[in-house]
Amino acid sequence: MDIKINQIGNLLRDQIKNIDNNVDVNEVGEVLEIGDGVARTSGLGNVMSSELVEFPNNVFGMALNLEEENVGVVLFGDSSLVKEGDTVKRTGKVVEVPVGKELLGRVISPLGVPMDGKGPINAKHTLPIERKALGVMQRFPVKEPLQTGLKSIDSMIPIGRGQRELIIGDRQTGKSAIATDTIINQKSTHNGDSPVYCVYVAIGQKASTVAKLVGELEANGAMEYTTVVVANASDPAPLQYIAPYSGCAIGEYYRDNGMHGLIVYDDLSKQATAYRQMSLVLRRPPGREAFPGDVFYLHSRLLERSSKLSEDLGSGSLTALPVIETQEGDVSAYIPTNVISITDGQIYLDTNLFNGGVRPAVDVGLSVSRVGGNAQIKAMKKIAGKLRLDLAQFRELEAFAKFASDLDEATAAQITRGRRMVEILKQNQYVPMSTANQVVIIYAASQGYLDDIELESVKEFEVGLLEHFESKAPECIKDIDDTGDIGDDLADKMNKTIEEFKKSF
Amino acid sequence: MKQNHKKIKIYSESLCSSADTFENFQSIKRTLQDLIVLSKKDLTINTFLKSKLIDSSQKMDIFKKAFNEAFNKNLLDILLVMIEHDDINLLVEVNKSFVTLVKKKLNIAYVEVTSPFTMDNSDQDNLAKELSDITNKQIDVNFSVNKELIGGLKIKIDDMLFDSSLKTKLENAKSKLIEV
Repeated sequence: MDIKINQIGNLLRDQIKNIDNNVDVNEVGEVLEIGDGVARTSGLGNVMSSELVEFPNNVFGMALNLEEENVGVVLFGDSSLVKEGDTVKRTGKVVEVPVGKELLGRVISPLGVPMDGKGPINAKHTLPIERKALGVMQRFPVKEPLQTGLKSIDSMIPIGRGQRELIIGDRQTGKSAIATDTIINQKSTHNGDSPVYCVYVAIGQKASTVAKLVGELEANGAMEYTTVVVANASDPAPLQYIAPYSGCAIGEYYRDNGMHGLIVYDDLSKQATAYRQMSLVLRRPPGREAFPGDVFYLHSRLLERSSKLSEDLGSGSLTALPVIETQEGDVSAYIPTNVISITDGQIYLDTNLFNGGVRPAVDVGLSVSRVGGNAQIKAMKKIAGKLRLDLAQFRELEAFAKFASDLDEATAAQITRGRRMVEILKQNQYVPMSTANQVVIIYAASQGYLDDIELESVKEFEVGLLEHFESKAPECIKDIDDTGDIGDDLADKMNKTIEEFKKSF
Repeated sequence: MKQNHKKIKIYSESLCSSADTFENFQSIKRTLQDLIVLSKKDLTINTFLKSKLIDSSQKMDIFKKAFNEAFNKNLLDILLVMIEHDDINLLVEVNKSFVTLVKKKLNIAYVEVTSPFTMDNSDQDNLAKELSDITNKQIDVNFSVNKELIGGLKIKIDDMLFDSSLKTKLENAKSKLIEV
């Protein structure tokens, strides 16, 4: 940074001019013991819960345990820089983060410190990371769709703006991929009148993984409307603990100002683990799986902050996609059951499906969206009902078909239809699909146009069909986009176009 | 643990009731602190206090003979009770609790003054008087020297730190320059 010599002179002169008048007044305490990222301090009699306190060497901490004799403080920095007997100062502020559009395209720490080397963040506003969730009267039912760009999700597990939809599954099943694709798909909303701003909170992940993700978002032009909050695996547990709250405060800024936000918490299992570590070091009594008693509140107070606001408050929304990693598919473990019960549905990713080449590996039977069809356009609602039914029948018959060599015609037809349905729901990463295109291909499949297509050629058929619609019948796509419905006329036109394409395929 | 908490409360409250003046408090506090330091640093005294081989009545006799003249009577009595009940290991916590209670009772503020040079006695007295007037409390003041302050003073009254030292001002100026 360039700074001129006369500027330095002026700054120093200003400081020297005031040198006799200023007295630093601080409420202080003393470090009694320090270890494992937690300091016990005496004094600080008036410190608030969650207040930021300052140690020497620019190390900050957060007061968590306010006890009669001492205060337990978790450290956000290097605890080796703090020693017994050091003075600790109150700051009088609870932990805050900068918020606003200035943060778009930036990678920051949970304390709002830039980590991308793009210079300081000149945000005009800040918000405390811990805020109370809104009450019933300030909210509005979830009605507008939030498109993920993934056929299997938008058709069968629709997500609405303001909803909390859990992404759950074992390691390496594509959980982060769904979240990333959803962020990338929001690019299309920025051409319209209700853009969705995104926040990706990476908790306890490898720095290289986060760097790769930021690279992908940048390559797909998604960083322009995204902020990435990072607390890496190597960061102290308190930073991993506050990261989701920081991200949420950033997202709430959009919601509270009449805009739409999407926040991904990747992942909350690691946050719970960091909180468990902190709680044990703070000597809080352990409970089930050694988690502290308030681990449910840890997640419920976070996820309750995602909401759709009433018209009086500007109709903004904050949609949350929390991610939970299961061990060996065990959804009945402590943290998964907690988060399942808090959220408005879950997308369950199955290892066997993933290994079987079904990607995204969404298990349609176990996945659900409690907002349901309210968050879908009419066109999708019409075709998705049939899709769900076809798939359910297929799943039932598929197991049966493995044992039976001779199948009656109806059963064989259902299996054929189901296999094609599964095939069209497969989708590559970083290629989200527009809603109109999704409607076209799912419509074609559910009307049986794919039944006589070879299973290996389904993908090719899909690509060709969409290209055909784009070149020969763009008005159909436009119609779906504009009206959001499939009327009789449009259905006829679509049928004709599909038949026409099939002849040439 | 809870039992100890109760005991500490009883002992410190008894000590507090015998500290009815500021001078009395100072003398009890000094004696307790000396005893704590001695019991920590002197191996003979430490072993004597902790020993299970010497019974409590013997310990009490030795204590009485040694400190009958030197210690405040109430203080000695309380220490004897602590020895009798094998609670002398709680002395550090009792002292802490006692100081807190008396500070409230007698309206005492604990003040630490750090200066870059040694202040002469008249300056120290004047400052102590000023501080007592400002805080409207009796003050238990300690003076220390830290050359790193360069100039100005650091005054800590209980939990409040008033820092007019040149060192802090230069550090503040440094951080502001870095921000620019």
